Amino acid sequence: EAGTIVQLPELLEPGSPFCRHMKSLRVMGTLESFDVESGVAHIRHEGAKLAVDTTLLRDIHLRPGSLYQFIGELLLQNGMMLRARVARNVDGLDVKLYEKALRLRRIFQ
Amino acid sequence: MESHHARLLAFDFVRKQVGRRVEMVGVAVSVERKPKYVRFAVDDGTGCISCILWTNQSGAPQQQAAADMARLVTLGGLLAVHGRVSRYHHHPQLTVSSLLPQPDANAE
Repeated sequence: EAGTIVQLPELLEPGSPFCRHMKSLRVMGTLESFDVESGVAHIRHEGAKLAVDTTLLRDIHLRPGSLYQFIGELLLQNGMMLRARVARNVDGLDVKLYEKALRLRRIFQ
Repeated sequence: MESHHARLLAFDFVRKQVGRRVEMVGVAVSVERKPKYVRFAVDDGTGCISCILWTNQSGAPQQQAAADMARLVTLGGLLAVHGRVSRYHHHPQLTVSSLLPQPDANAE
């Protein structure tokens, strides 16, 4: 299943249609912290925060302060966490343009 | 003769005719390497399209070019993929003619 692109604030809105167990999503946020032991990272975007399970990822060096996109499945057991299967560093991304493009794409999709 | 590639989103593939030349940009979310081909899936957020790059081309230059392209396919990498729409087990598939990694995050 493709990872539906969703911004963190809209994912965390009450009643969000994106908030379903095992829904495949693509999220983006600045890496705030990463626990090497548990493999859990926390990302933040526009005031919203999400935990990301990175244990399935290989060959990626996570740097706090950098902007990342994660594609994976949303887990709704014991809180909310994205179990990532793909990650990429998107430092340099024009975030405002990206969000504008996302809004336009949703109109035409 | 059609020489250009139409830029498509993955969700549009289901409406496209087999044989059309298309371009797609997305993240490689799976990669399977075999002796004769590399099969990978590209996710652009609207859908996930299976792509196949044949590496057993006839002719040494073509084979080398295909092998070079195969090395560029990495899990999590952003790729611009050109090719023809085909069908595999009733699902749309892109038979790759060329691909290029997109290091700029804004390319998508």
